[in-house]
Formats: sequence, C-alpha cells, structure tokens
Amino acid sequence: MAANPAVDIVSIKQGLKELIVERLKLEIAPSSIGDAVPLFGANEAPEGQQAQEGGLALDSVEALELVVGIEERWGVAIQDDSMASEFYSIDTLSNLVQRLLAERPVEAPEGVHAA
Amino acid sequence: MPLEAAAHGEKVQEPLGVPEILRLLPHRFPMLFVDRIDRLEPGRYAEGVKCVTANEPFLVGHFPDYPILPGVFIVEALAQLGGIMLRSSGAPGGPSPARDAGAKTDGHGVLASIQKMRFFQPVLPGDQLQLRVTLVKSLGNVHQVKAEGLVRGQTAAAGELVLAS
Repeated sequence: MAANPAVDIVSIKQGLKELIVERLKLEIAPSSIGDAVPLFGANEAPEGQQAQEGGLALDSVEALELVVGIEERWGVAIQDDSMASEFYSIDTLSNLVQRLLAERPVEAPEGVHAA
Repeated sequence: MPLEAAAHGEKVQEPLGVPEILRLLPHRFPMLFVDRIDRLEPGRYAEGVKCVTANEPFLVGHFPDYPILPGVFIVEALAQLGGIMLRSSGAPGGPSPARDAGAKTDGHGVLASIQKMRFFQPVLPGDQLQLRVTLVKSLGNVHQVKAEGLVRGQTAAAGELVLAS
C-alpha cells in the first residue's frame, strides 16, 4: 500500500509552500520557494551550513502565523521550544511536520481500513 | 464556576480592581482601558471590563455630535487585557508584576499585528464593554490572542491580535 499521503514528505513540502503563500498573503508562486532556502530573516543557518541568499526573510509574527497554520492543517502541536534549527527551511520544517505526524497518538481508525 | 476554578487553580475568585491592574500594566491616564478584571487564567484566558462615560477626553472630538468609542480604542482595551493575561503568567519572557512595575516599553503587551478585526456595533457612553481574550499560540516572544468585545452580551468587536514582548 502507498504511503499515507499526509505523511509523505513531498506532499508536506508542497503543503507548507501553499500554506506560507496563502496565510502570509505572499504574491509569489508556492513552487518558487526553494526547499533549502532560509525562510526567516533572523535565523542563523544550521551549524556547518552556509547561509543562503534569496530567502523569504519572514519575521517572528509571520513565523507564529505559520505555526498556527501548520497546527490547523496537520493537526499537530508544535512546542515553543522546538524552534530555531527546525524553523530554517522547507526541508527542515517538513522534517519537523513528518516527525510530529509520526509521533502523534493514533486516533480511532474510524472507517480507515473498512475497505 | 467552582469546578473550573478548581481545575485551573490560579483563577481569581474576586474581580481585580484598579490597584491590581496598575501593577500588571504600565498604562496610565488617559490610556488605561481596563477598569476591572473579572476572570484571570494566567497565560490562557482573561475577562475584563472597560466602562465608557461621556466624560472620556477623546469623546470631545470623536465625535462632537455623536460620541462613540473609537474602534481602535476597543482594540487597545483588548490588547491591554491580553497584556494582563500574558504578564500574569510566570512563563519565560513574561516579566513578573513586581519586577516589571517600573517598565515602560519592555515586557508583554506591545501590539505586533491586528488580524481579522471587525466592528459590529458602536460603543456609546454608558456602555460597559466586556472584554475577553484567549491565547491561541505563543512562539518565543510573540503571542497570538483571540479577542472579543461585547456590550450587553452582543459582540461589538472581534478579531485576533498578535502581542510581542
């Protein structure tokens, strides 16, 4: 059976890009956001990585809006202390979302395996 | 109510008046827009009251022939109660009232964003504006707060604020 699309890293990345553009009302195409470019202005690059040019330079208010959007879209809870390095790029964020989805308590499988 | 109070532990049983508000907020005349705190769950939820009288200084000009509480002052009242809700919690970045008594601009309660705010009816002299704020999410020093103002149980304004410390 195919991987659960909700946990598939490619769909998470795509979803994150759409979320960023929609919730932050950016006038860019979601596909124009590179997976590795820095999303935020203030964040340092993870250790050992060169800071990349061409980031979105989102600020802390936009980061909060994004967190609320992620929680609503994927039904996960992002802790206040999980930030910094995981909130760097689409790559790091999608890993965070995937991990949170995997850790999420399994809900009653209502009808999921009925077919 | 007693059950909820027991569950949250910290919620006040008696309304908090101006002396307590002045300890929790740096605002002073003519910019103090919370008269009473009716419920306080630090870092989670707060209810309070802003009373409007014909004697408000700004009503002289807003408007001479039709005094109404400016919508931005409804937002200000909600933001101040949000600041009280955040300041009263012992969370990191939430300065304690004692330490923060002389603070001017640092600490919680600075508006960073006003989102989806709508105004549904004018707030007039004689009205008691009930304020309700609920924390949606915090990220570092920014806090998203759902805010609503009501007059006689009817929503006068509602929206979301982001407060930064």
